[in-house]
Amino acid sequence: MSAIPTQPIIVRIKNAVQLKRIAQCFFILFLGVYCLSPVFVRADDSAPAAQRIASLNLCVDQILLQLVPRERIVSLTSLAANPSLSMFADRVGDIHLNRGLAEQLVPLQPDLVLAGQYTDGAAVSMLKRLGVRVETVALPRTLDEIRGYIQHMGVLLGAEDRAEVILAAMERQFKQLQDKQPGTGGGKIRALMYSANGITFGAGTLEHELLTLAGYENVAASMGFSGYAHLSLEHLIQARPQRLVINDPSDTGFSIAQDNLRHPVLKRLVPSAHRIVLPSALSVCSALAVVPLIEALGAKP
Amino acid sequence: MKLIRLYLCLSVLLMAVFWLSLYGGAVTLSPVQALLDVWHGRPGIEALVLWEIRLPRSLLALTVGASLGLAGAAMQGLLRNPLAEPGLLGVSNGAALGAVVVLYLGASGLAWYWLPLAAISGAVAALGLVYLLAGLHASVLTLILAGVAVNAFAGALIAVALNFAPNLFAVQEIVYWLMGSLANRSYDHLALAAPLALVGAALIISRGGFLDALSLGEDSARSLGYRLTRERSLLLCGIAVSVGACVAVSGSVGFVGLVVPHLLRPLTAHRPWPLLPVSALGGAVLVLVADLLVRSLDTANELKLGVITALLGGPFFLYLIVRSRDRWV
Repeated sequence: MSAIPTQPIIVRIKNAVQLKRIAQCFFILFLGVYCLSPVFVRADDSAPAAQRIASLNLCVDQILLQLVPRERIVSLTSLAANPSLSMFADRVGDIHLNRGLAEQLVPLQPDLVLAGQYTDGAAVSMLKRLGVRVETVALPRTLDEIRGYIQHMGVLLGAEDRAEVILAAMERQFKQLQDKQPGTGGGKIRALMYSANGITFGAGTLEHELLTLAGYENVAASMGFSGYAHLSLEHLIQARPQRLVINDPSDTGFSIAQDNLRHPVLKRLVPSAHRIVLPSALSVCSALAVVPLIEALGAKP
Repeated sequence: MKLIRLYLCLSVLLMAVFWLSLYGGAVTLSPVQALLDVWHGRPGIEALVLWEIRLPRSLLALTVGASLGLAGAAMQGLLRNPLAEPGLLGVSNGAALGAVVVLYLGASGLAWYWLPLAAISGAVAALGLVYLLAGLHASVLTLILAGVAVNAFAGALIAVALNFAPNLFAVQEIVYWLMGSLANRSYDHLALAAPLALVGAALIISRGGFLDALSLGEDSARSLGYRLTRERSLLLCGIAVSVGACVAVSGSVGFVGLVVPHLLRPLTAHRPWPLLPVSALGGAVLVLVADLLVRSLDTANELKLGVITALLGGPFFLYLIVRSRDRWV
């Protein structure tokens, strides 16, 4: 800062000009981002909705299958056809399945490729370099985000009507669930959701919201966890949850990661009548299955 | 007399380490209080943690360590080679491969005995390969080269098997099988490994006399009335059974079978037979200590057991090489 006053006045003016230029550049960049950003794509845009859509993300696969007719989908991820991971595996049929490689998608000539937040960046940049339109979709992590997400996907895919129908059904079911809910008198039942690799779900996660909506107190949040957190079996025992929700993201075959969900101590701690095992297809993309998930959570008294 | 004192010392050490290991874990608790609670018939949270999580884990560490130490001592005596060790020669990886194939690719609902059976078969196959490649009179160099080959091959096959496994987590679990871990093991795993480990140990220890005779040379052993083929096969069976049973539940933990017999050999006057039980005790101590360290370190994801044993064993291995480089090559 102290260096500036000692500079000749002309240099300062130059700086001002540069500043202005930079500001202009930013403005143009901002305009560009604004126009291209899918959030602001409007239905009345002149560009017709994509007719050859490909997906690189399992959760995107599932919303695609819900929102657009199968004829408009040219490729889904290979996991989409696995009924233990995908709720809509039966709708996949003969749609081409990819393993996330750019070279699998390019020959299909998609006019829109949807990638997830965590999709392999190399594949995405390769596709972009080859002139394919790629949209990266941030997956929702709260109930509010889910509403915005479904709307956004509806706009992006030119399927606003279908998105509205899904949203309306969701709201209706939410309302029914809330009406069924007993009054909040007395202490809530303390429940803990436990997943493969000892992962539990603290405050700020969708799972936390689901547990709360189903009428439980989320033990992980009470323990001070926020976000996804690792919880050792010993700490789990110490926390003494009254209900144990096993969130098993996949039930295909053995893994050490899921072996701790079968540890005998869990049976000793929480009797099987008080254990809720969520279907794995629902847990993978829980954002798309909030209603059945809340129903499954409330299934046991 | 000296030997008895050694046994006593090691046993006391083992008991002390075992008791200490009950203190190690995420939750701070007093094992004495927990045991008293159980005694008075009011089992609480502490008792549950101690009884269902720490005790099976410590018992398993003891079983695995003892088996690996014993197997290492037996292999060194059998091959008359200071570098023979289940981990280095690929026997552990062979066993892990068998376990991986049954666990990840096997049809669900296979009977329980398939897991140890496959792991033992894997160990037998790896041992057989090393034998075929290096033979009985091979130099250290040939043996190590054969071991490296079998080890790498079995490791690669583990990776292939896990890549083809339908489970999404499988690929990440290569580390578990190559480095070993006792995290979240329960009595189920102990019940699977311990009886077979005992059978293997009995087989190995019963051949102690033969190992002593063999240290005088094959001809001497034969003239002492040992039928070499039969004795060797029994020993190999014992090694494969104990290594296979342990690796099936813990993954392959390296270096235990190398470090322990080497450290203890001078104390047993370089005789192979007394070295066997001594190595079992020493191996149990080493793995218990390593596992206690793993449990006590506050890391987000538990360190693998093999990392600790390799941290101890790697430098030791180098030291062995430097000390006797002239003698081996």
